Amino acid sequence: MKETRVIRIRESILAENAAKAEDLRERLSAHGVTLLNLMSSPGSGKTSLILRTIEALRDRYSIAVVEADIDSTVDADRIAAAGIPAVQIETGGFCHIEAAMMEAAVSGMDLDAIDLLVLENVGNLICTAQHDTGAHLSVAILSFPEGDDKPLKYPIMFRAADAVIVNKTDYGDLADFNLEAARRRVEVLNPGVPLIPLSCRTGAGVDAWIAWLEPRIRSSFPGASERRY
Amino acid sequence: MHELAITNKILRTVLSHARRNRAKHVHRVLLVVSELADLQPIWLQHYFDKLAAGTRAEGARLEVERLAPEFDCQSCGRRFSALMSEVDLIECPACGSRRCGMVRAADYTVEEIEVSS
Repeated sequence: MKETRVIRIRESILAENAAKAEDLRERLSAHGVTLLNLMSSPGSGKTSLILRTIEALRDRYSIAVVEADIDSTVDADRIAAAGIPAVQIETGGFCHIEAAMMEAAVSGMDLDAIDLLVLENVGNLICTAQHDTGAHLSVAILSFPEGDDKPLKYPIMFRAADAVIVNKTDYGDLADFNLEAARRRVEVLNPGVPLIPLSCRTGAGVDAWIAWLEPRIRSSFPGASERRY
Repeated sequence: MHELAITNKILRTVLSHARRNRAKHVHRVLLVVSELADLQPIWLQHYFDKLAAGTRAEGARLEVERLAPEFDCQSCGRRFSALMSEVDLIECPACGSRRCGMVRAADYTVEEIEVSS
């Protein structure tokens, strides 16, 4: 029998991506860009939230969007129709975005001309939560028809989020969604994280989302414009 | 499906350490994975077998150790483990407070490898 030996490694398998993500974050910050990473299941309202965000902020900030789709340009087309530059990453079956893919997506962009860059991640609550994209802000969207038990099923997603949006509140009693139960679960998983209920369809609650987001956009910081130019 | 990307990262980490240690064969890989991670060991092994074919980690057996999530009591500071199924009823085992929050981040660590030269 062959003689074997044991080598202690203790290395996170996500370390390489995390280092790349940190580099990208620093580079974007140096150009005054804030990268917002939106994550959710398919159909929770990522594109609709982006359109609402564009509507509210386009007069004050220059916005661009990176759309990650497995194999279609449907979402990118909706953003482009709103007159906002959209870069499409067709992931070719890849179920999440990693820092290296974001790095490639921004390589052709004039970063100095962008204040807010939004990444619409692949609709997936598992892998997206495990991979740092280089974003300054990561936001998870949950919606009424999905159920208030989603945080229990996908805890890593709700831990990775800087804010949690509960979309489609206009479903009301049509969905058995207990907002307080969802709030309590998210609070245990990620103490102190804000939970923002809204409806992209009616617009109700969108102002609370914008009130959370806007002060976190780097170019809104006092003195930001002097630093940039 | 999502095990594929993770397995690829495991293999890269394993091969890089095997090379650095001049090991010709990797026989066993010990992973420490958070219980929160939705990873099925059977699929990890399945993808690993395919990806590792032809490398020095071909045929290696994956062992997965799961780490239970940890919580802090925000009233008395006690740290304790609990299952995800207990989150709705969670309370501090020391003082009974229900103000508890999860602390340990998701871990995916290659803990050790067993090799031969």
